[in-house]
Amino acid sequence: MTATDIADVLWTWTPYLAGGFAWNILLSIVTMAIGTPIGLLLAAMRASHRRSAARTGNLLTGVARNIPTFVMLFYLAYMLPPEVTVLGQTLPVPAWVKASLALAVAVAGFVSDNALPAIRHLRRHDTAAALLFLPAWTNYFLIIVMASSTASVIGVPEIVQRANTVVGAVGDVDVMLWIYLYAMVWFFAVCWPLALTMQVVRRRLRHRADARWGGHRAASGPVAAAPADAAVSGIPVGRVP
Amino acid sequence: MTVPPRPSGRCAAFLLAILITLSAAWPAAADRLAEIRERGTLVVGVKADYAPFGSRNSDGEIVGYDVDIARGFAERLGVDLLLVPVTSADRLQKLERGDIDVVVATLGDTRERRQLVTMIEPHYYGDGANLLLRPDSGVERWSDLHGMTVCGVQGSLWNRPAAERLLVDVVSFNTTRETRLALRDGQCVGWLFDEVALLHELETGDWPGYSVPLPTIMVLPWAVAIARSEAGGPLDRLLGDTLAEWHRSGWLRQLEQRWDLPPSSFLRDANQLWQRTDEAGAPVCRRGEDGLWPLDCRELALATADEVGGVTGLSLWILEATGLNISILHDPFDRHLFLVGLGWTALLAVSCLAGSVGLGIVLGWLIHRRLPIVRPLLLAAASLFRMTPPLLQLYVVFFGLGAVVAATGFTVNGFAVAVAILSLYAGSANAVAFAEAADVAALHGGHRLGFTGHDIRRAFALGYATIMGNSVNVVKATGLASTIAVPELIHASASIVADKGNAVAMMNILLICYFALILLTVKAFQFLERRAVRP
Repeated sequence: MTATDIADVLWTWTPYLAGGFAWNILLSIVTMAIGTPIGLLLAAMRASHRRSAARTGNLLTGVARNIPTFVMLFYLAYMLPPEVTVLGQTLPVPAWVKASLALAVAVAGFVSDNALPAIRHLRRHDTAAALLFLPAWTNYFLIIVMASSTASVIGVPEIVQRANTVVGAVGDVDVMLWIYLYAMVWFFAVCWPLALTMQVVRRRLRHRADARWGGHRAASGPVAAAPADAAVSGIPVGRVP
Repeated sequence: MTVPPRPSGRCAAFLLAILITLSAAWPAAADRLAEIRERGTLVVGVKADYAPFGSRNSDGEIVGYDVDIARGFAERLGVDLLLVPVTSADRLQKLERGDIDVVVATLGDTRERRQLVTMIEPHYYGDGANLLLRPDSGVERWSDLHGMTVCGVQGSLWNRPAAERLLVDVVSFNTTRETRLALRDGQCVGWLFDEVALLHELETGDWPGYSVPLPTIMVLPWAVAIARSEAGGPLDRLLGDTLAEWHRSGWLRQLEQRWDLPPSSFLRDANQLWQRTDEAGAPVCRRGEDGLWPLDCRELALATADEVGGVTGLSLWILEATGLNISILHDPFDRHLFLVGLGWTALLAVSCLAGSVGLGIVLGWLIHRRLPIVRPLLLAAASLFRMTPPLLQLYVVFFGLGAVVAATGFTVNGFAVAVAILSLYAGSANAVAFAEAADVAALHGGHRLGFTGHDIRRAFALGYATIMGNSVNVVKATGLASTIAVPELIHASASIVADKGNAVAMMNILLICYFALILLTVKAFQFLERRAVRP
């Protein structure tokens, strides 16, 4: 197969793959929408002065933090029924809902860990430092977009699943490499600019926060600054959650 | 070939159980075998509508595989044979009522039915599900099917368990003819059906390039049954010994051939098992002092807890009491699969940890030293790894590059690819963290760090939290290796669920194992920090 042939194949299948990528984005948005409120709730529990609430919050966060999403994906795929009956209505539970719920577990853990220091900053009226939560959250959204590709293994028709379909349909092993690389380009083209933007936002916010609080935070240096989402809590964040 | 018989429903079984309880006052048959000999006739219930196992020929006689088994029993006893036609609905009742002595009627052996009748071991036949696969489907094991579409025949016993256990979409068609057409049209990757029926399809020669390459799953063994009160009695022993002899001699396989049944894996495996001998030359499968066959020669999932004892017995007791099937405790095959999976996952975790931390330190140091070309190149690579899904990275190397390499005659090793990609993935993130930590350390020390134990340790201590986070993530990500055919824990668990349908037990065990693995990793890092990093 020549380069033009390969380009031709990729061009022909672009709308189909783009539709798959829309699934990735949709899946990620739903995941964040489910996981964020739960994470905020957990963080509020941990910040609470009630001992029992704080302990429960810590325990649940620890569980959410330590379960690999890829394992959770299989867990829910097998354990959730294919349909549920609510008030006499039978509703299907499609694979993408299961995938969203599985990924949302990791989001809840992450949000809990990162909203906790933000809540403490807010209590000290350090709004700028608290706002650092936002770029960290956006970065995690990108991580979830990456992780949404794993939903392909339980049959969600997102871009990787569709790339597999294209590989099968084209039936030429030489194209396989290019189809997967092309799917990769989609992720990179969308996520990289957003990641760069967030880097700028974070730098500005940190600058503002440091300006207000004098130089003392600078002592922690760029180590804490770069992977802020990890360093604020000293707790692992998922690149691959 | 149609679907193997199933329990006629819980409700019927329940009613029957009540009937049997009520009839407990009836005089128990003292010795059925003596009675048969005295009578001079063996009365056997067989099917009359299920070719080739039991059906009427043009002369109106009932013939078939099951009928030959019944005849074999009568010959062994030296008595006449009287055949009584039975159906799936009435065969167990007729047996309990004493209308017939023995049932040989395509009866699948299940725990529920063992509450009602005595099943003779060894089993005399067995059929399970398999898949007639399209040419070049790329499917090499059951777990490769996750998320794919398979065709099935409506009403087939396998459709529901397949959807639940294999995570596949089953599109079912009204008739086998429609299913054949759908498979040919490419509407699905394969046709899920009775193994025996699919092998029969292949033999017709209509399916060039198609194959049935996977091991048969969900095997339902068929048993000869006698009354419940005869358990452990002389009739039980005699029929069991006879069947064992037929497995050893291969007579059952000849019978299979005579009735044009395709060679089933069940009879092939049983033939090998029962022929096995120990050092002294005696058969491995011989009755113990309790009259039972050794555990290796039985369907353990059907044995009862008090027959077995030990961990196996405990596991069976849990199964009886709660329905939770922890098959890795009582099934040696599943246990082996699971332990191998655990071993691979541990090996993946250790290799990826070593690889990612090692790469992180070396590459991070190179970035820190501001080497021309190397630094921007490494930073770009780190971004590339971070901004593309690791699953696709694995696919690109394993399948994409794999296909290119295959043209030169080499094959790509899944484990090596997984370790390389995951190490690079987490290693590039570690490198950035290490470089930044080294920069800070250099700021305090006044000069750039050298590649010495002391300097490396200082930078590592500063970047410790981030590196630990990345390391936990790489351990979490080892499960991805299952997508490129590394037989690790997720892969093993999915295979066991596919065969046994014990998703609740296996998925919880899987979750606990990974949870423990992550905690172990965190503990190991904390130990490392205390001992080596901050002495």
